Amino acid sequence: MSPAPIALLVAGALVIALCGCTTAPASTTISVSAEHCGEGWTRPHSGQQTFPLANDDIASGEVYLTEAKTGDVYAYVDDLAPGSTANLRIDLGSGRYAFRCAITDRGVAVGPTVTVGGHAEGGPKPVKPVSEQDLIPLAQQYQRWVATRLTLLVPLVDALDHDIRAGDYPVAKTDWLSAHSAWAQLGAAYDAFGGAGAAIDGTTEGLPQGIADPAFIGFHRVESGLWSGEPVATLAPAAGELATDVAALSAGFGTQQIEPLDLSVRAHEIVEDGLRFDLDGTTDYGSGSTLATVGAELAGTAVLLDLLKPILRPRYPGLDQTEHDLEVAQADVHAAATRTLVVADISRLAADLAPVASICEPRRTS
Amino acid sequence: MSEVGRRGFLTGTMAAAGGIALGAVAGDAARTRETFHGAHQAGILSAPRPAAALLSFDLATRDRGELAALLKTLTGRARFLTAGGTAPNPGIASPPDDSGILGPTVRGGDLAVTVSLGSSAFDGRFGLAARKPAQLRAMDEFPNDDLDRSQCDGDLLVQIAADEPDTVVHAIRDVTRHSAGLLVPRWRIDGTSPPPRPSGGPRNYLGFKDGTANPDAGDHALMDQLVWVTGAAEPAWAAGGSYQVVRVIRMLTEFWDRVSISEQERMIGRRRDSGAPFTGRVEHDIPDYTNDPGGDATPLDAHIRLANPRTKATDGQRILRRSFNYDRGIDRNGSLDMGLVFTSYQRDLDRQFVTIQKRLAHEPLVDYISPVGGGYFFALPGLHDDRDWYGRALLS
Repeated sequence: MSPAPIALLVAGALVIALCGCTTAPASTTISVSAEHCGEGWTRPHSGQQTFPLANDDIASGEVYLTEAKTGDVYAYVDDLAPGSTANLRIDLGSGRYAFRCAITDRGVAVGPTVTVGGHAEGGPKPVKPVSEQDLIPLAQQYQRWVATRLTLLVPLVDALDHDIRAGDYPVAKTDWLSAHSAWAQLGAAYDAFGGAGAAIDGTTEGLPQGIADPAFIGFHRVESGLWSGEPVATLAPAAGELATDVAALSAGFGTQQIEPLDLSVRAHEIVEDGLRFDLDGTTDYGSGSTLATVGAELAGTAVLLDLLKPILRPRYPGLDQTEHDLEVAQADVHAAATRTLVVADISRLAADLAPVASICEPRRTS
Repeated sequence: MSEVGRRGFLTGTMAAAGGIALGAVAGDAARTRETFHGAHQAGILSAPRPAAALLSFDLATRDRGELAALLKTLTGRARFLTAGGTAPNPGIASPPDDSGILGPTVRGGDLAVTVSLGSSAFDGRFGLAARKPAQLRAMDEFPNDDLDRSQCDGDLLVQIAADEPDTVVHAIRDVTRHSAGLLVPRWRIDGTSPPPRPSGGPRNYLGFKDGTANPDAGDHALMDQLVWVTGAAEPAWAAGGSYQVVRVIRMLTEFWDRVSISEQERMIGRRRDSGAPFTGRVEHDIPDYTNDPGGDATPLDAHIRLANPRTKATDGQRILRRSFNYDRGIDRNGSLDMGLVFTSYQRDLDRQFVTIQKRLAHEPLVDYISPVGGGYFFALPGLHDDRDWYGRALLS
């Protein structure tokens, strides 16, 4: 390189150093409160910057930086306790902005509109927030679907119980695979069914005596005995207990409610569960049905993704890719592809689904 | 771009333009900022940084288009990690873009990412068979090797090196996250390059200085001769790349510690304290074998004499060594599991590394070391500008 460009670059560096523009705070402190929301934004400019936020209200709250007209969200900070401060970092493009403050037990306050001039592009595009109201009908729809599926699961588990008591293990094994696959579709991830879920699909994790532990019950307890040829006398009670627990869950489920927040996280948690517990073989107690379980989990994920599609379509540019990757994963699982390929598929899908939970989390912005 | 990112870019540019010699002498602590763009990749000529990780992956990409997309993504991540900056705030659109391990703003400047391909990337999957570098293949198994093939080879190798371990971990997290489901980890080894003790080249876990005889990485003509691939024997896209050999060599350090100092030094061919050859006084004195045909001064089977006999005929066999020490706990017997991540770059795999390695067969040192993993890779040519991407010439 010739000396001339170096000199220019050095000069450029000096200008930046002297100006110091980019390190300057975006404003004096921004108020997070019901009465003075967003006040304090004194020197609007584009580029990477940090807003110091301070909750000077008497209640805790959350704050959103939004597009002034549409209310679409650029960035947020939540759980700001009274008197606390936080930073909000953002690369601001040109446009019109307003802070929105959602203080507990108060209406959402919309701060003054602030214009950032020029033609700066800025960071990621804003996203239209999802409200609890948006999700309630979907959660109800999903609740009905799960309830129906549980109803269908009951006779499958009853058949399993019956065939084990009859000592017909070959048929009982087929029963078990059908019933467990039906269960896995429900996406019982992360304690979705609470204690009932643990009783129905618990593993030996945390049980000092392993498969011999009296607290080891449910599908995997039955699986362990069935595939190891355990005598009917000891296996039948375990199968009976499973049938009772499933029937009880099904009977009680009609009155339960699925929280909108749960719906938003379920779509990716089912897949995360599959990655962590199923694909490494941890949850296999002899049936070798790991792939079938993962396949059922993918089916359950597809149901949720379908349900959330109207919400996601205008908000998530990666939706098409997600659906594509889900189909690829299902095809590979169906074709019993190599473990490496299936792990790759599910890892990719988990990455695709991570934004779904974030986008669908219910927010209070209006 | 953030202030830090801008400043980082400028400093890097000035350092390169100023002609600061990169790693002229192995172990010289003149650490420079890494430059991302150029005829060759970062992390090859520069002296090994204190912390490093090598990750070998299998490709789960399904076709050439997906492979190209992956390599573009990798390029983007490496560019960000090298230059530094502030990850964009995705708002409610997704979880945070960055792990936050290095704080809200990544400083950049001391990190080098080097991307290489293994021979299996050139099988039928991506239609690249005809473009395979001529000598690239699965790693040879040499007479004293004890290779675990699950810890060898791989489609794609990413080497990450930086001044601090957390910078390396941050980069690993970033790269694996952004390649989720497209790159499947196959094996990984972490390394360190220690500071001078008390001077000169970094010491390996046998206690000896390592890489003392390296060719001068600041000598461009010499590097063209020994390191960078060019010419009609190789595909045109490969020009500016280099064959990279990685050998994970376990050192049986407990056994080694029970060997007398004179026997240790005779196996290596240098003094342990100073690094000097037996025919010299200081580390960088050139070993003199001319009047020692019987090995009275330096044993004929000493490691350094076999590796580099210092003859005119063997001059072109020299390699650029860029090794790291590794330490990964204990094995099932409770023995220490540590050794050397031997890494070398060369223009001609067979003429250089393989010839040397064959000469080293059954050297006395083999009782104390055990090669267990690694692979042959091809370090891709450099990224020419901010629109270039890893493998562009290969895939275009």
